Amino acid sequence: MTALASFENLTKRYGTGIAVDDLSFAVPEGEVCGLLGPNGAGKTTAIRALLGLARPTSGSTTLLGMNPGERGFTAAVRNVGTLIEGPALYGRATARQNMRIEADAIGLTDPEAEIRELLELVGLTERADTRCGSFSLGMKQRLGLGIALMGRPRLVVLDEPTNGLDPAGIVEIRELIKRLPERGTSVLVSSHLLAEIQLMCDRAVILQRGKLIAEGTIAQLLDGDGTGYVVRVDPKLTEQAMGTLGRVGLSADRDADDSIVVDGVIENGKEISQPLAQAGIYVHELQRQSVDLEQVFLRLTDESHDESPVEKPALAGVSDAV
Amino acid sequence: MRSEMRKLIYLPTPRWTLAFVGAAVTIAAIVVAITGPGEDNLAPTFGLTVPTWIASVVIGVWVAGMEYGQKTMSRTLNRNPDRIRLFADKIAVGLIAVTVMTAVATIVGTLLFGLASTGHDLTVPASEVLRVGFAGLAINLAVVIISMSLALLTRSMAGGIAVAFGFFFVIDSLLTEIPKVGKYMFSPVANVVSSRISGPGYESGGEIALGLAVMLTVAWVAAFALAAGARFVRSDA
Repeated sequence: MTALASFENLTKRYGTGIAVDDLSFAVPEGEVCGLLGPNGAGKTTAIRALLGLARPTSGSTTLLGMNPGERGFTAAVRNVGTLIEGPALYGRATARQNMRIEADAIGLTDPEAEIRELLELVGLTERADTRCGSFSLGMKQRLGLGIALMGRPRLVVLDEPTNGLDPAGIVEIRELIKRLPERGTSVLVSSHLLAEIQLMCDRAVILQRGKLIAEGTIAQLLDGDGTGYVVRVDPKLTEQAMGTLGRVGLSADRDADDSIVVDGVIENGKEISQPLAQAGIYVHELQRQSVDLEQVFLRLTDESHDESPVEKPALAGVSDAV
Repeated sequence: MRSEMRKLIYLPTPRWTLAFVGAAVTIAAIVVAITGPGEDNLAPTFGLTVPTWIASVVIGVWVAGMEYGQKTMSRTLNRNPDRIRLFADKIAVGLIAVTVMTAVATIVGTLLFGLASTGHDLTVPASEVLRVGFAGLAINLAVVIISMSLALLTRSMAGGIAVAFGFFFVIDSLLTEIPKVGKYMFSPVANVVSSRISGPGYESGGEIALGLAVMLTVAWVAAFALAAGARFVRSDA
């Protein structure tokens, strides 16, 4: 799969502080790729370096095959829409005028039809001729996204695109972002909102203090963390059930409410219910433990606080697989 | 360039600045109509030269500073990462804006001052207003580039305005007082150029030749533009 953007050992220092530390990953074409990390993790700095807005201390970035500063980068970057560090709008100009300014910047000759389409897409048709200084933050975010999509770019880079949106607006923007690959636009989206990344992205890169600590598809990241099951049987048979599961190689622990927690990478519930049934123990309840990105993230960042940043073996495997 | 021109048309500061210049010309014409033009050339100076000079400072700072004030510089650079080209575009837009503004003010001033002085013993000849307007334009073109450079150096709209007026009103005036070299500072050399174009009645008492004054004016502009351009091209956005 072609990489539209890539980071190769990127390091960016500000004075003695390090914002991005030896970061390497690629954004494949046709996907929504999330850049996840707490505030100050280096997400925005990495994006700014990718766009040529900040000079790397060492390492390099490539955007549509071009390094910033290279001849041809200007042409390449015109195929990249951006919404970084909040919506950058000319507040005394209307929404439509802001879009015309962008259209001229990328050299569109007859942009009016596309402007109408994008205003419709982001739900601002009614307010197209209102000065955007009077817009709510959510409306500004939507306009910023519309501007980023001008010229049907191959890649859009979005920094915290759901900031300031109400719940309905978040769903709207999330669904819009998820559909962008169908329009031929791949996405690199940064956020500290883990649930958002999980819901809208195909893959994610997790940063902590400037370093990449995990990378993979969302499924890989969640599976790599080890999903498990909660099993309930007749409480009198709990000990016997744990022994049965132990004999088939599953790690089973008793929980406070007499349920059994079975850890490990388990393909489906049959691996648990079958040996129990064969032992004459009937399962009352079998529930897959849902591990979400938040738990993965918290565990990873907790580890990287405790130790020097080291990749978790399971996730290193994920990283290698990408 | 088209995108920069759109900003000039869509955003209100250039319009307000033009309105300020229009108001200054009109007020000066009203004063001439009431009191007569007098012998001190006050109407062209205070109705045309000074307001278009102030407007040039504002336009110059605005062209670059508003991108920092509105936090749009990153957006502008995202789709136009060739910073040298963007710098040149912004200079061009500043020069166009100031040329149009000074030309319009000069034409309007020529008509209004002529009409206003009708019936008074002294008149304001059209040729004099045109010469003063042209002299003002020559200086305003330099002022707009210096002001834009100061906004790029401070990376701020408010900071650019403060530093630009601070430079023209305070720093440059203080430098002018330095013995021997004071006459080579921006204001004295610009005054020499302006007064020679304006003609009789507008002498500045400058001690240097016109050719040297022109070269020094260009050198001042180049020094500011190079410093600002280097900072703009080399630093993070």
